[in-house]
Order: sequence, then C-alpha cells, then structure tokens
Amino acid sequence: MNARNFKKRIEKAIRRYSTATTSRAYSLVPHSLTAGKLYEAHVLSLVLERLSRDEHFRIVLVNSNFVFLKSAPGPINPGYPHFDLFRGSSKIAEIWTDIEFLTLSFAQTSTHRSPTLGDYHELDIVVVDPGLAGRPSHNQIWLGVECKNTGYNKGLLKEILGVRRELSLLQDPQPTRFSNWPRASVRAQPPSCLLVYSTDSAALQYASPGQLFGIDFFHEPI
Amino acid sequence: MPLSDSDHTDILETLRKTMREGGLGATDERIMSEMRGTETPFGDLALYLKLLISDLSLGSDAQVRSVLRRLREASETETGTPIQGFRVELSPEESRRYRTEFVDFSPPPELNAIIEDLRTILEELYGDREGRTNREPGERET
Repeated sequence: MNARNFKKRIEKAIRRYSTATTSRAYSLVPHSLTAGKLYEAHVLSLVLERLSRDEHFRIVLVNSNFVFLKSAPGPINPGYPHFDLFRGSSKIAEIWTDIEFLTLSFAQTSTHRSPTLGDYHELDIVVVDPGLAGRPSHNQIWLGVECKNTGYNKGLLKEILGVRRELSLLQDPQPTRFSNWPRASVRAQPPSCLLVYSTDSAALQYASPGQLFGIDFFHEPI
Repeated sequence: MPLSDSDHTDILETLRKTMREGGLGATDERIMSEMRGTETPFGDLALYLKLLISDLSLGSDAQVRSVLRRLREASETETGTPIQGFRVELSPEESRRYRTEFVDFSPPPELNAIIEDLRTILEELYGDREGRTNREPGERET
C-alpha cells in the first residue's frame, strides 16, 4: 500500500465523520427529563472520579457496558447494571443510582408491617453494602448523593434535612467507611455521608446546617 | 515498498488538513496539544491516529463526552471494553407517552464503522513499519 492510498482512505473516513449525524435520539423526550438525568450522570462521574482517585477503589461496571439511570426510583435489582467497588481483590461495596432506602423510623417501628409510602425515600446515587436486593436499610448506606439541576431553595434544604434525619441520629463524630473523601468522620450514627450537588450557586447559602448534621453541599455547574 | 519518513509526514499533514477542512479544527488542536514523546514521523502519525480514535469514540456532544471520558477514566467494565454511554430507563407511563422504553446518551452508532476503518489503517501502518524495520541490511529505505 502506498502513501497516496493511505491518504485517500484517511480522507474518506474523516469526511464521513464530519458529516455523521449528531442529532440526538432523545429529541422527543422533554428537555427537563434528559437534562436532569444528564446532570445525574455528570455528578456520578465526579463521585466515581473522587472514589477512584482519593479512596483508591477499583470500580467496575457490571451487567452492562452502559451506565443505567432510571427516571423512576425503585429497589435494588441485583441483575441490573451497577458499579462494584473493590479494595485489592475484595468487593466491599456497590454503587447504585435512583434507589429508595428504608428509613430509620421504619426500622424502629416496623415490626410485622410492610413499608408504606412514608417509609422509604429516594437517593439519586448511593454507595451501599455489597450483595443487597430490594430497598436497602438506612444502616446499609455508606454514602447518599442528591443531584439538583434546578434552582436551590429552602424547600430543598428541608427535604435533605429530612433525608438526613431518616438516615441517622445526631451523634458525636463517628468514623465513616471512607478514609478521606467525602469525609473521614461525621456526626451521625449510622455514620453515612450525605452530599448535595446543585447547578445553583445559591445552594451554598443553605449549607450551614450541614456542618452540624453532616451534609456536604457542592455547587457544580454542568 | 515500505513508506518513508516523508510519506508519514505527508500522510499526517493530509490528515490534519482534512480535519480542519471538515470543521474538526478544534479536535485537531486538542490532539496536537496531547502529542508528546514521539521522535519520528511514524510515531507522530501513529499517536495522532490513536488519539483521534480515542476522541471519536467519545462522540460529538460536549456534555456527554465530558461525562463519558470521566466515567471511563475512573472505572472499567467486566468485559474490558470502555463504557459505551449511559441509558435512561423511562417509567412505564413515560414509555407509553414517548413511545420508547429508554433514552441513550452515547456516541452515534455510525461512528463505530469510522473508528474501525481508522483502526485498520493504523494496524496496516504498523505492519508497513514492521516490514521497513525488518528489511535486509543495505536495502534502500525508500
């Protein structure tokens, strides 16, 4: 094969690329839905980056080569795509998206009854104990993340304070399951970490209660 | 006859010119800014093609590219292939309304064929290079 032939084939490939369709297959679905999920994927990628870089986890996507996000939250289905977290060769946790967890109040009052609507809440991203199925219990959650691609307001602050209340009780600082990121300790028992990512810089004006209750706020534009 | 250093330089120049003429000047600049550690025209051409293949595999949507690049850097898949994209599974109600069960955020499928073509070209260039370095002593280079 001579240089002229290589050049021709390269030119052909590049011209095909420059005219390849870039239309979005999701143009029929409302922008509000896709924008929210795109933001969730953005935050997920940031969380994975920190867990890989700062906590030295090896992170493996299982059951698919696509990351799955759900527009409606639900329980953990072990056959569904998710991420496994490894330290060395040991799998020690899993990352799931759009999961409902069973609340602390349900755990303390639920003998012999099934959960009702008020007994579980959604988290956009969770790190949980490995090998779970169904809704994880509040004490099986290592990290919960809420992603808000919207203006931040007091209602959202109250919502996250409610989630914190249903994850843990206020305690003296307890060691978390992480050595550095997002926190090595938190005033909560069980000692779960709770993060809020928002596209709205106003979220930081609501961050002060989080200093006591262990909620970390991030202004993260996309 | 194996390609010479000036052939490799010529092919790379043509490649870059085609990129710029095709509206891919920004991609060309990004790739050039990452070109380090090569000392031969062949090394430059091979690295440019490798970076171009990697860049194309992220697609052309800026937001999706950024997320996909970070996901790929931080994690791996069971099969060892890079993460292909992300998929939003719609609720039953939304599926009925929009007549689809999911929405994919991933590079356009037609890119795969283009990437395969470029990979084949790169492999052939390596094959040609091997023929050149394995030539008999005294044989002409070009």
